Amino acid sequence: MPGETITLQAGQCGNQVGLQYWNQLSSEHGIQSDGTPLSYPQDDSLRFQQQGAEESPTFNQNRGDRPELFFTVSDSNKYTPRSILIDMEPSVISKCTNQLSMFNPRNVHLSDNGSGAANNWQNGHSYGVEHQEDLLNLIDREMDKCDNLSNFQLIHSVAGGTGSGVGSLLLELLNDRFGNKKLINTFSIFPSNEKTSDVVVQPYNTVLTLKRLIDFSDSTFMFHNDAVNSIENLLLRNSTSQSDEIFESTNKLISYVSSTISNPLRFPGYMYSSTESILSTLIPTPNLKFLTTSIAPFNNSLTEYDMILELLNDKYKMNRVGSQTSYISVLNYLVGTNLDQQEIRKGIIKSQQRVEFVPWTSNSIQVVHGKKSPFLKSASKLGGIQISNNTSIIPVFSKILKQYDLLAKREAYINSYTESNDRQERLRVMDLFNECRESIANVIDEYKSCQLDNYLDDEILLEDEVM
Amino acid sequence: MASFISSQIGDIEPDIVRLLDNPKLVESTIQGAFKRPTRIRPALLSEIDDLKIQQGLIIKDLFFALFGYEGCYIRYHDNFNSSSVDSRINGADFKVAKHLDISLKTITKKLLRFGKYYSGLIEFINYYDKPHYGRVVQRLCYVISQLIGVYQQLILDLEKEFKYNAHFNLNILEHTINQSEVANKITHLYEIVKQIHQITQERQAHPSQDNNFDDFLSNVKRSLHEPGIIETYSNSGRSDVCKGGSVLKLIQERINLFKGDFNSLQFLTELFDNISEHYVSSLNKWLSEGIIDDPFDEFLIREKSVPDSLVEIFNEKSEHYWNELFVIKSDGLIQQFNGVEIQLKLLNTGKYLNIFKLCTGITDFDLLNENLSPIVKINSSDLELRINQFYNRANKLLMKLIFEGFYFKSLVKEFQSMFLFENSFNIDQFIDKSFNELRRDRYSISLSRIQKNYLETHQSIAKFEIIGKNLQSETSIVELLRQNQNLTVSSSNFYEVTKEIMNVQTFDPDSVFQDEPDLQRFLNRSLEKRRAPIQSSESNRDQSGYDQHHSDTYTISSIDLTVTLPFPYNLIISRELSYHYELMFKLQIIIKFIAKFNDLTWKEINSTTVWQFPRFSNPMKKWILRCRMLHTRMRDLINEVQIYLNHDVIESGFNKFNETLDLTETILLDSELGSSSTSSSTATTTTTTTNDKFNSLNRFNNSNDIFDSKIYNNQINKGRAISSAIKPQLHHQQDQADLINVSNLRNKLSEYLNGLINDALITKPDLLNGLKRLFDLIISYNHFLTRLKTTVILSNEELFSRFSREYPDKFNDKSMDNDSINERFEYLNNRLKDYFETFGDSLTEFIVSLREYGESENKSILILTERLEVCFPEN
Repeated sequence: MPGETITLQAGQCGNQVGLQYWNQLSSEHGIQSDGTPLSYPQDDSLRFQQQGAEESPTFNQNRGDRPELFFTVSDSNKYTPRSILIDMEPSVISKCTNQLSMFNPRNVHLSDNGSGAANNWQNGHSYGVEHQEDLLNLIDREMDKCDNLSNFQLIHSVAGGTGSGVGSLLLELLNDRFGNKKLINTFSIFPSNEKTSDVVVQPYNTVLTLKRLIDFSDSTFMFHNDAVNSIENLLLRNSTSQSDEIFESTNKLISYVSSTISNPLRFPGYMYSSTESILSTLIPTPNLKFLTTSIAPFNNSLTEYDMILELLNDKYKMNRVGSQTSYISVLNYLVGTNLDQQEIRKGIIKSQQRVEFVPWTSNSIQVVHGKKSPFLKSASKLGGIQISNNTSIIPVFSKILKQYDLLAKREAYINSYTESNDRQERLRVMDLFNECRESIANVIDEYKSCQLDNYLDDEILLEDEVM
Repeated sequence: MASFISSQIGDIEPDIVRLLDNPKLVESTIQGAFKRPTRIRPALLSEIDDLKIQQGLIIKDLFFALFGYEGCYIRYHDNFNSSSVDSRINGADFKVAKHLDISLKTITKKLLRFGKYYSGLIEFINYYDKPHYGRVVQRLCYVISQLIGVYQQLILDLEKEFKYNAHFNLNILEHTINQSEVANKITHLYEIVKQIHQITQERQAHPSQDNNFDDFLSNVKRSLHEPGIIETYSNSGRSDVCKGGSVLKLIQERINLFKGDFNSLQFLTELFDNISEHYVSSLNKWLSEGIIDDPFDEFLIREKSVPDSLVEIFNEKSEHYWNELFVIKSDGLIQQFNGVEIQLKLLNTGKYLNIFKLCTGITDFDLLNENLSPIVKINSSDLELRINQFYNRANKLLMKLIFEGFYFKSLVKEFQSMFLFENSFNIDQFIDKSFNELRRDRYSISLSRIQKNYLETHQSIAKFEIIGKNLQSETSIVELLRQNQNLTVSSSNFYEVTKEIMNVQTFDPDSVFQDEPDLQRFLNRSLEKRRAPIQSSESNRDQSGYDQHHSDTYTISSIDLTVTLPFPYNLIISRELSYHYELMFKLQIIIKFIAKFNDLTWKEINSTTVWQFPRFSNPMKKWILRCRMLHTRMRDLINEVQIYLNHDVIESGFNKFNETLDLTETILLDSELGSSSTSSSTATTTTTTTNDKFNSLNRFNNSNDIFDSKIYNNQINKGRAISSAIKPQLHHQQDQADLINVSNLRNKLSEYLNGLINDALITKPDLLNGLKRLFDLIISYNHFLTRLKTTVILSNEELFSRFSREYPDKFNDKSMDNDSINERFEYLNNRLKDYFETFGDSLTEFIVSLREYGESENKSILILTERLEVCFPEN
C-alpha cells in the first residue's frame, strides 16, 4: 500500500547524495528549493474551466503525483522533505540547508563539537549510542507526521565514520523498534576497492557496517563507487570537469537511480505502487537482499526495446558485475509517457533469452511502467533503470573480505576500535570483527549455493525422494 | 350543364343534394350522388341505319360519358354500384347499346375508359381530400383537380368542335383525346388513385394489431446478428389508410415501372416531386432542426409516446428514453430510405439535434449562422449526400458538446483510473484500509464500513478541495463522477456474474427466444440481481457457506462499483458499456487484493522475528526457504498476469482508443460549431440555376447540385491545382467525418471495452476457472502462511521458550518434545508439498488451456501464454 517513506541521511556521503536526491525529487514534483510548489501542469482538457481563469497552485486535486509520500505539506502549502539529516561535522549539512531551504532545520542532527567521526566506524557508532535518545526523538517526531509509514530508507556510505557508524546504529535502533512493522531499506555506497584508499581502516568499517545491513535491513541497494564513476565517464563524458564536479555528478547518478526506484509510488500507475510490492518482487528471501541497479544511457533515440537491452549491459550497472553472474530477479523501470508495449514485449523476450537465471526461480523479467514527471518536460523522453538481485555480490563481498583479511591478520589499526590496548580488549574486538566477517561469508555462501540446482532441497529430502 | 337529354325531355327530376350528417369545416359538405336519370326512351339504334346519325348520337352520348354520366346509348354497367364508395372510386363502368354499329362500338368502348377514369378521380378527390389522409394525398388531389381542369377543357373544346365542325367524327374525337397529353396523365393518375384506394381498403379490412412486441423481437434478433447495441429504432405499426410515404412509395414503384416511357417518366417524376414537397420540407425540418413537422402522421419518423407506467424509467435524461423516443416507421418507406444505415442516419440526425437542444437550451439554430443546402427533391441523386451533410452537422454539434462542453476525454480518463486502476493510489488505499473486511465472508461484513472506506479514499480530496478553495463555483466532471460512485457488495460474485455473461454471449439468437422471449428483460434481470446489495441480515447468513480456501465467498469477489452517469454521458457510455467497465473492475480488484495479500505475507515471512530466526535446524531453514520460494513463484505469476492485463490489454487498448479521442478533439477544436454545406455553397446555387436548362432535358435524377458543383469546382481548380491533390483532401474529409461521429465514437469505445473483456480471459469458462483455481490456491497459501507463526515457534525450542515466557497462556499447554516437533515439521512439510504440487499442476493446466485458446481463438492471449511459458519453463 502506498505509505510514507522517511529518509535518513547520515554522514558526508549520505548527505551529499541526499542533497541530490531531494533535488531530484523536488524537481520531479515541481517544488522549489524553499518548499513552495509550482502549480501542477494541468491537462486543460480535464476540467471545467473558464478560459483564462486564475489558477491557484494551492490545492490541485487532480495532481497525478503523490509528493506527500516523501514530503510533508504544511498548512501554508509548503513542502518539507520527510528526511532526517545526521552528521558529525557541519559542512555538508549546511551546504544542504543552504541549497535546499525546504529541509526542516529541526530534522538536523549535528554533533556538538563538530569534529567528525574521523573515518572510524567505532567513533560513529559510539557517538550514536550516546545520542540514541536524540536520534530516536527525531525519528519519532517525523513518524508522528505520517498517516501510514511504510518504509525507512537510509542513505549512507559504508566506509567512512558517520555514515557507517551512526548508520549502523540507526539500523539497530530501527530494527529493534519497528523491524516487524516497517521496511528498512538502505542506499549504501561502497568505497572504491581497486585504488588504495586514503582511509586505511575502510575495510574494517565496511565489514562492520555490512554486518548491520545483513542483520537489520530489508533491502540494500548497492552503489559501488568504482562502478558509478565509470558510468559517469561513459554517460556524461566530462573529461575536462573538475574532480568536485565528477563527485557531484556521480552523486546525481546515484540519486537519479534511487529516486526513480520510488517513481511508481510517487506517480502511481497500475502496479508497483508500494515499496513492498517492489521489494517483494526482487527479494525472495531475506538472505538474498543485496540489490544491484543499473541506469540506461540518456539518449533520445533509444526505444523501449533498446533501453531494456542496454539495462542488461554490465557496464551500466552500479555494482561491479562480471560475466559469470546469475540472476535471482530482474525488475526494469521505464519512465516515459505512452510507452510502447510492443517494444517492451520484444525487449523482455530478448532479455529473457540473455539473462541467466538461478535454477529455482521463475524467469520473470518485469517492467515497471513509470510515469514521467510533468514538470520535467525537457528531460529525455524515456528514462530507464534496472534493479536486479544477482550473484555479483559474491566477488564484491569476497573482495571486501580479502581486504579485511589483509588488515585483520595483522590486527592492523585495531587500536582505533578498542577501548584500551590490552590483549583482552583486542581479542574481544577481533572476535566481534570476525563475527561480522562470518556473517558476510554466510551471505557469500548463500549467494553461491543459490546458483545450485538443489538450493531448495534439504539433505533428508534428497535421500528420501527427488523433488 | 344543360344536357342534350334534358333539352329533349323538358321535364326532369331536379338534382338532389344531400348534406353530410357530421360536416367538417374544411371538407366538402356535399356528398355527390349518382342518381340514375329517369329512363327515357331514345330512338332505337336498330331502327337507325344511317351510320352518320348513329355516330352523331353516340358522340353526343360520349360527351356525357366522358364526364362520367349516362347517356341514352351509353349506360352504366350493371356492375357499377353508384351507392358504393369503392365502386365509385373505381370509376363508372359503362355499357354501350347493343345495336350500335360495330365500327363505332369499338372506338366508343375505347374512349369510355376516360369516363371511368374521370369519374373515379372526381370521386377520389371527394373522398380523399381530407386532412385525415395527410398532406401528400391532399397534394395529389390538387394535382388531380388541376389535371381534371385540363381534361374538362379538352372535352368542352371537342364538344364545340362537334357542334360546329361538319367534318367532326368519332375518329377525330378518339384521335384528339388519345393524342392529348392529358390522356396519358389521367391514366397514370387513375391507376395510382386506384392503388391508393385499394391499399386503404385492405388496411381497413385488416386493421393492424399492436405489433410492438414483434417489432422488438425482430430488432433484437437483427442486432444480435449484426453485432452492436440493441436498439429499437424501427416500428412496423402501420396507419389505417394509405398516405404519406406509402403514396410516395407507390408512385416510386410506378416510376420504376415506366422507366422506358419518356413521357410517363417525366410526368410521374414531376408528380412525385410535386406531391413530395411537404414530405421534403418535413425531412428538412427534421434534419436541420430535429423537429417533426408532421400533423397527419405521414413522415417516416415518429415520436413515441411514453406509456404512463414507464414515465419514471423513461425520463428524458435516461438513455432508454433517447433510444426509444424516435422510431422509423417501416410502413411506407420510400426506396431511398430502405437501408438500415440510412434509416439510422436519418433517425440519429434529428435525435442528436434534440439532445443538443436539451443540453444547451438552444432552440434556434439560426444563431449558428449556418449555410445549409436543404434537400430539394427526394429523387435527386445527391439526396444521400445531403442527408450525410445534415448527419455530419448534427454529429459535429453533439460531438462538440460532448468533447468541449462536457469534456468527454476527462470522463474516459477518470474511468480509466476508477475502474481499471490506471492510477491505483486510491484503490490501493482502499484495499489497505479494508483488507480484513474484504477477505471475510461477504455476508458477515459491514457494508457501510466498506463504503465509508471507499468514499474516504476516493472523495477525501474533493472535500478537502471544497474547503480549501472556498467553494469555488467550478465543478469538474471528475468530482461529479467521484460523487456518483457507488460501491456495493452484491449477492453474486465475480465468477457467477461472468458465468451468466458467458451464457448470454454464447446463445443462438434464434433459438433463445423460444424460452426466453425478452432478451432485454433477461439482461436487466441479471443486472438487477447482480446489483441487489446484500442485506447482512440473519436469514442470509445461512446461505453463505464461507470457506476461506475459496475466494468466491470473500467480500472481495463480490465488490461492485457503479457510477451513475449524468446525461448526456449516458448516451455514449450506455449501461452496457459501463457494465464492461464494472466487470473489469471486479477482476482488477480481485487481483489487486491478491497482490496485496502477497505483499503482506511476504513481509510476514521475510522480515518478522519468528520467520527470520537465525538458529532454526537446517531442515527447518530449508523448509522456510521453500515456503518463500513457492510464495515468490506465486507472486511472480500474479505479477505477470497483472502486467498482461494492465499493460498488454488495458494500456495498449486504451492508447489506441485515446489516440482516436485526441485526434477527434483536435479536429473538433479546429472546426466551427455551425456547419456550412460546402465551401462552394454559392457556386451550388449558381450552378443549379444554370443547370436548369440541362435539367429540363431530363428531369429525372437530375438535381444533383453537389455533384455538379463539384465538377464545376474541379474544373475551376484544375487550372490551379492538379486534381490528384484534391482527392486526398476529400479522403481526409471523409476520415474526419468518420471521427466526428457519435455512433462511431460509441463503436470505438465498445470495441475497446470488448477487447478488454475478451483479452482479459473473462469470456472463456476454462480460462476463468483456471485463473480462479490459481487465485484460490494463492489466497489459501497466503492464509496458510500467515497462520503458521505459532507452529513455527513450536518447532524450535529456543523460540518456544522465548515466546512462552512472553505469552504464557498461548503456549503453556503445548508439548515441546522431539516427537511433537518432528510431527509438526512433518505436517508443515506435507502441507507445503501439497501446495507446491497443486500449484504446479494448476499452473501447467492453466498454461496449456491458455495456449490452446490463444492459438485457436484469440491471439492476444498468446502474449500471456508465452510469457508464462518462459517464466515457468518447467510447467
